[in-house]
Amino acid sequence: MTQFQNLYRELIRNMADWPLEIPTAGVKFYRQGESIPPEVQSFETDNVSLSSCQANRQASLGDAVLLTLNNVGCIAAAITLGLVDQHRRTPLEGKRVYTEIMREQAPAQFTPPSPEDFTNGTVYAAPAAGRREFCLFGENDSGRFKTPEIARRAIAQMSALQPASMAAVFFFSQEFEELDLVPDVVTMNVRPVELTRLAQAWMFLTGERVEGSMGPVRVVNSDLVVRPYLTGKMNYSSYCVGARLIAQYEADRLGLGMPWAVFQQTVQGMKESQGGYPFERYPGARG
Amino acid sequence: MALSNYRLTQIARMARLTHTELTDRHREILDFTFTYYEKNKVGPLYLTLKKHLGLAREELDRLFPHGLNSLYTWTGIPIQTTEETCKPPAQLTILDFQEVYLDHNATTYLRREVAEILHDYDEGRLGFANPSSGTQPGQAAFNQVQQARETLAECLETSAEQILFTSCGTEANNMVIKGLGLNALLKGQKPHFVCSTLEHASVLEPHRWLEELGAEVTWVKPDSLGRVSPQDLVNALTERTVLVSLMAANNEIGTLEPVIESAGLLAPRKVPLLVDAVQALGKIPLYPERWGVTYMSFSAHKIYGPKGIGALYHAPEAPLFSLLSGGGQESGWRSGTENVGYILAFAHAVRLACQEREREQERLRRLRDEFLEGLRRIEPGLRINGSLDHRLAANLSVAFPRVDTGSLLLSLNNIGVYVSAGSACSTGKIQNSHVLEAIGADTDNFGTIRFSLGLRTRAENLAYVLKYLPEILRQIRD
Repeated sequence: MTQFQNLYRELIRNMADWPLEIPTAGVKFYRQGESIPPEVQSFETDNVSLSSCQANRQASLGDAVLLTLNNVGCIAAAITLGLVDQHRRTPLEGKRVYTEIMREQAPAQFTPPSPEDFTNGTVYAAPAAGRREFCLFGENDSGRFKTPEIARRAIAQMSALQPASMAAVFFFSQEFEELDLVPDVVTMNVRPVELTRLAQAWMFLTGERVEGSMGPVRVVNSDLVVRPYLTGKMNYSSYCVGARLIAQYEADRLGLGMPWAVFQQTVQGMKESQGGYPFERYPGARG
Repeated sequence: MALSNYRLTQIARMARLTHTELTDRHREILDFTFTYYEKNKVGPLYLTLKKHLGLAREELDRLFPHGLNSLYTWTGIPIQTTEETCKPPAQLTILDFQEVYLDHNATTYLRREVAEILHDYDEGRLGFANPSSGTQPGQAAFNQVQQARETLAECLETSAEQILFTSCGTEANNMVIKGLGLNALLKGQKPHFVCSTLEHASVLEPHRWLEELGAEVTWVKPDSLGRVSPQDLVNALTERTVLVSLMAANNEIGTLEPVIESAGLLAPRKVPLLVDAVQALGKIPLYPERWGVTYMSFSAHKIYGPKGIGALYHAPEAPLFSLLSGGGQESGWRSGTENVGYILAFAHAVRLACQEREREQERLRRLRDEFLEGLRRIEPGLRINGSLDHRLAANLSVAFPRVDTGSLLLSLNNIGVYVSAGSACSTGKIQNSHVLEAIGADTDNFGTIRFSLGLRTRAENLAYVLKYLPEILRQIRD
C-alpha cells in the first residue's frame, strides 16, 4: 500500500464508521530537466487533450494522467501550472479545449489566443477588448470580466508558477499503485459537510483559520493546486466555469486543496479530534 | 449493452472506415467506456480501463486505430485532439459565393419531372392502394407497378418479368450474393466467389460476411488504370464458383469495366455474373440479356430519382433466393408492400435518362474535358485516377500533388463546392479508399478529389471552381 493510500484510508477510517468515499487526487510537479519515471510517463495521453480540471477529476475517480504542454487542453492551466511562459505571443499548437469552443463560434478566420492574450486580460474580457472571437457563449457572452483592466487585476491575484519551469504535472488517484508516489498537493472533491469536518481536523492541531480564496476561473489549477503549493496552506473553492462545464464537477461539491504536509496534519488531526467533532451527527454526513 | 442503436451504427461506421474488425472485446470496451462516461461525465483513462477491463495501453492501441482518441470518438465522448492530422482548410474571401454541386456520383437531387410524380402520388392523384389488394384501386396500383417494370425493361432491352424492385442497389446486391452463398452453405457446400476489389461496399461486404460463414472468395485486382481483366476473372474460377462480381462503372474513379467481354467468357462456362450497374444506369447502354449477364443491380438516386428504391435484373432461369419472406410480392422473391410512388418515380427517371442519355453524356463529357484542361493549366502535375478512355463521361478523379485531401475537401466545401475525397479524415487519420489502394495510387504525395458533374452543371459553375482553386492550393500547400 502506498503512503498516499495509507493516509487516505486512515483519514476516512477516522472520519466515518460507514463506507464514506471522498474523490481525492494527488498532484505532482516535474520540473524541466527532472527525470519522470516511466510508470508516470506512460499516462501521458496521445491525441487527447485534457484540461487540468478534467485531469484532476478523472484522477479523483481513480485514473491517472500526465499533463504536458503537448496534451494540456487549457492554456490558462498551462500558464498556472508553469508549463508555458505567460507572455508567450504565439498560440499553442493543436486543438485545445477552450480554443476549439471559441473556434466553433468565431468567424471563418480564427486564430487561437496566445498565453499573452490570457495574461493581458484580452481573453477574459473579450467583448470589451473588441475580440469577440474569443467568446465562449455566443453573442450574449459578457466575458469573464467586465474590462481587460479588471481582468488583469484578477489575474494578478491568481497564483501561478511563473516563470514557467515545469515539464509535466501528474494527476493521480490515492489508489495509484504503480509507484509509491508522494504528491506535492492533495485535492479533494467534498460536500460542504465534509469540508467542515476536514477543516476542523486541521484546525484542531493548528488553531489556524481556514480561509477560502477563489476566482471565477482557473479554480482547480490555481486555487486548489498552485495556491496551496505556494502558500503551504489549505484552500477551498466552489469551483469555476471550466470545472463545472468541462470537468462536470457535481453541483453539491466543492474543491479543497492542500499541500502534502497539510494533508498529513489533517489525517492526524482527524484521528485525534474524533471525540470533539461528532461528524456522524452532522445533517447529511451519511449522504 | 448501454449503447443505443444510433451509437452502435456510428461505431460500425467508424470501424468500417478504419478497417477495424469489431470483436466482442471491442464491444466490451466501448460499452464500458460509454457507461462510465454516462455516469461520471468524463471518460475513462488508461488506469481505469486497466483496472476494470484488464486493458493495457498496448492492447488499447492495438484494438483501436488511434487508441484513446478512437474510443472517445466512437462512443461520442467530446474530446479535443492535439495533433492536427487533418490539415486546416484555406481561408478565402468570396464575394460571388455560389453553391456548386459536383458530387453526383454520391447522389443526385430529384429532377423536376420526377418530383412532380412523387408529389402527385403523395397527393393521391395517382392512387394509393396496395397492389396486392383485390380491389379495383389495388388492381390499378398493380398495373402501375407493372408498367414501371416495363419501362425499366425497355431501357435495358429485356422483358418485364426479369425485373424485380428492391429498396436500393445494396439490397439487390445482397439478395444475389447472400442468396447464392447461403443456399450453398445450407447444403453443406463450400461455395467459391470471384469478386473484383473495386466493387462498392454493398458487394464487398456480403462477400466478407459469407467468408466468415465458410465461403471462399478470390479477390481480383484491377490494373493501374482501374480496369479488371476478364481473363483474370476466368483464371480465378474453380469448380465450386457460384458467382463472379464485376461492376459496370466504378463509383470513385468512374472507370468502365469490361462487362461485355467478361460475360462473354463466363456464360459458356455457366458461371453467373453479377454486374453492379448502379453508377452506370442512364449513362451508358446496358443490355444485360443480350450480353449474357446473369444479374444486374440498379438504384434510382443516381439518376435524379428518389433514394430508397432500386431494382434487380435477373436472367431467365437465373436462381433467385428470397431474403425477405412474407406476403409474396415481386413474384415471391421480395416480400413487402411495394413502394408504388417511388417505383413510378424511378421508372420516370429511367425513361428520361434513357431518352436523354446520348445528348446529356456528350454535354457532360465536353464540360468535363474543358474542366480538366482548366485544372491542368492550374496544376500541370496533377494525375487522373483511372482510365480516361474507359470512363463515365461526368466523372473526374483528380490527384493533386503535395496536397492534403481533407484540407482540400474542406476548402472547397467552404466556398460552396461540394465534391468527394478519395479518402476520409476520420478519427484524426486519413483513411484511403480501397479503390485508390487497389489501383496503387500514390496517396502519400497526392490528394485525390472526385468531381462528378450532373444535370445542373454548367460551364460557369466549373469556371467558379477554377477561379478559386489556385489560391486554395497555394494556401493549403503553405
